[in-house]
Amino acid sequence: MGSSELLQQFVNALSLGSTYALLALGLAMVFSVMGLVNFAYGELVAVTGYTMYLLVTRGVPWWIAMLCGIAAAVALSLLMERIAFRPLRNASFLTLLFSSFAVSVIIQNVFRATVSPRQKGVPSPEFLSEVVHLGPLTASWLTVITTAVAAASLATLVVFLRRSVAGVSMRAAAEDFDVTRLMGVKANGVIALAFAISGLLAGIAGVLWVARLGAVAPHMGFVPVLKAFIATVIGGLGSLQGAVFGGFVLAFIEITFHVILPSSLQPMVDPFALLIVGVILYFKPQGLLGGSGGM
Amino acid sequence: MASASPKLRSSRYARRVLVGSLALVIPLIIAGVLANALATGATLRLCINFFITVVVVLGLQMFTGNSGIVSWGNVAFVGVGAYVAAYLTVPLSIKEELFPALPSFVMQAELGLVPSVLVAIVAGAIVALVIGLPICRMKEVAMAMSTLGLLVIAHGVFSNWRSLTRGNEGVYALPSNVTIWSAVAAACIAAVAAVAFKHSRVGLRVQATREDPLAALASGVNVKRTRLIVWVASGAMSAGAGALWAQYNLAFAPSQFYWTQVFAALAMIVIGGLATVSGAVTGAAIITVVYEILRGVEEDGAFLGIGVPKVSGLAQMALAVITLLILIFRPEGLLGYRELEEWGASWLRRLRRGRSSLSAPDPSEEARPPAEDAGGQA
Repeated sequence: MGSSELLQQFVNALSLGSTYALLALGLAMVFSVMGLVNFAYGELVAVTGYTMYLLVTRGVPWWIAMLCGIAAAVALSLLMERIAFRPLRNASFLTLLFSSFAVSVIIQNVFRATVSPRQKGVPSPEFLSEVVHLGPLTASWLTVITTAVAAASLATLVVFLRRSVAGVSMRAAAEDFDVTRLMGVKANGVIALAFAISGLLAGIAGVLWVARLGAVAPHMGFVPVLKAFIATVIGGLGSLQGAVFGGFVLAFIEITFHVILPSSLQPMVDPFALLIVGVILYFKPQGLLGGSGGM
Repeated sequence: MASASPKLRSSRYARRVLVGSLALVIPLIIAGVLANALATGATLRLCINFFITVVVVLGLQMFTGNSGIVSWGNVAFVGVGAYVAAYLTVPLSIKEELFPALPSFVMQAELGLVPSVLVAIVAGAIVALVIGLPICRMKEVAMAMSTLGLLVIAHGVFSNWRSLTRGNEGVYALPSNVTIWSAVAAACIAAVAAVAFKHSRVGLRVQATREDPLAALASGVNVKRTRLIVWVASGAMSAGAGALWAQYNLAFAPSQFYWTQVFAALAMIVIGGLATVSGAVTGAAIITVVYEILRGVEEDGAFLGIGVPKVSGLAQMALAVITLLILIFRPEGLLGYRELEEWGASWLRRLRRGRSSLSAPDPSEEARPPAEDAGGQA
């Protein structure tokens, strides 16, 4: 493999990794303030997709549909928190995990019953699949935009978390929730904010995800939440930096297997990647950046 | 308890296991007799599948219930058991065509139900041991994550190692070896094993790690080794269940050891109560019945109007709603921390107390949640 192809795969991994990083950060955000691994997080990606599907197929311009999709993810995230997770505040890790699993199944079946059990196409703007040449590298506009959008979102989030009062109280809550409450920060407010940001990140990632797949299906949220979960565990659950870092690590592992495995073994990319993740966890049971707290 | 002599302790253990087993075995046998006498066709199939489900769920409960660590991966062991059963029981004439890669001593084997299930149990234990050695060293969340990885990896192997699993085409031609009686017997054996394990030394130790891993460690419990033992036992039971299941359903594909099954099994132990063996059995019974009724509704709905898209996923959605409601209103599950026989005993005490209102309150009542919570008793 020549160095230009290596660089090419590096660009691919960077683009995939930035999507994973967005997804993982949204999942870690909620985990860090309330100890919930939200398995229904993937359904936020799905609701973005379904909203876009419903609007785009009715002739609404793509970029408006996209904004509505993101708004729908934020709304659903807040709704989930209010209906399913607020009554379970302070419940055990296992109870929270199971309940998010149940929420995920409920939402999936709502899509199945109201839209269709089958996959539905969502046309993306054509320019996204056009190819850009950057010296020896070629990339689709989607790859470039994905990386740029993810980087911009992460940067905005860092500024928000560092500079605004709400952001600082969120970071504090991630560090130590009880002490943060003692400092006069409202628990409901912080948790709702975490869910809103989580929904926003899932929505942005959802737009990129749907643009890449070009279709929606009821179970489409499974892969994103799985990747996000794996990435957060690699990075160290509860660490926001870890989630971002883990997203990139996972993407690089996957792209590596994608390149080195023969075509007959391509379906085994995910299993092999998980094997490596298992090895990482064996040596670093707390995750790569486990233990360190906020951002 | 610490001062009890070994003899007293072992007799206490024997009594607990005996009472706990009877509380499950008797209803299971009664259900089996009734099913045999009254049920035919699809209903009988449902009953037999229920008894097999009990074994599957008890395999999951053994690990997740006792250790408090969620295992997404037990369904993978069910799959291992099913494939092992296929290797051992498919008639010789077809086997060569189905699994060309089998070693010759397996190729020659054509076993009956009991030996094939036993081999599956051993195979499940070996696989669980190999996987458990690394993952039982991990922290709880990493371990849960690794079992999720195990599920995905197993699914990848089942779907892609064509010469051994036939990939997504699936396996067929297993002989029909399971009757209602062998299913009832298997459910009873699994229940006794689960009760015996729960009250055993290892069982108590692993429950201590569930309540507080650090305190258990400080009390001298080897957390990693204890978890490994329960993981292997649970994997073995799940594989046995898989072998049984395969010899009743006769044909299967990798998709039958994946998310739908994981969710159904988890819902069963959550609804019944994670910490108890009888909770798992109760959950399995409730879910089997509810699921069957709703699936009937779901399918009939499709016949009402041709061309109208049917409300698909109703049964699964209801399952999820029930699980969520239980988690919100009774997070410890219907049975909570008490086995059936303990509920029975506490009701008897309350009855007696009701008659003589002067009697002193029973101290053992206070440590537990009040029995008025028993709202959803099934």
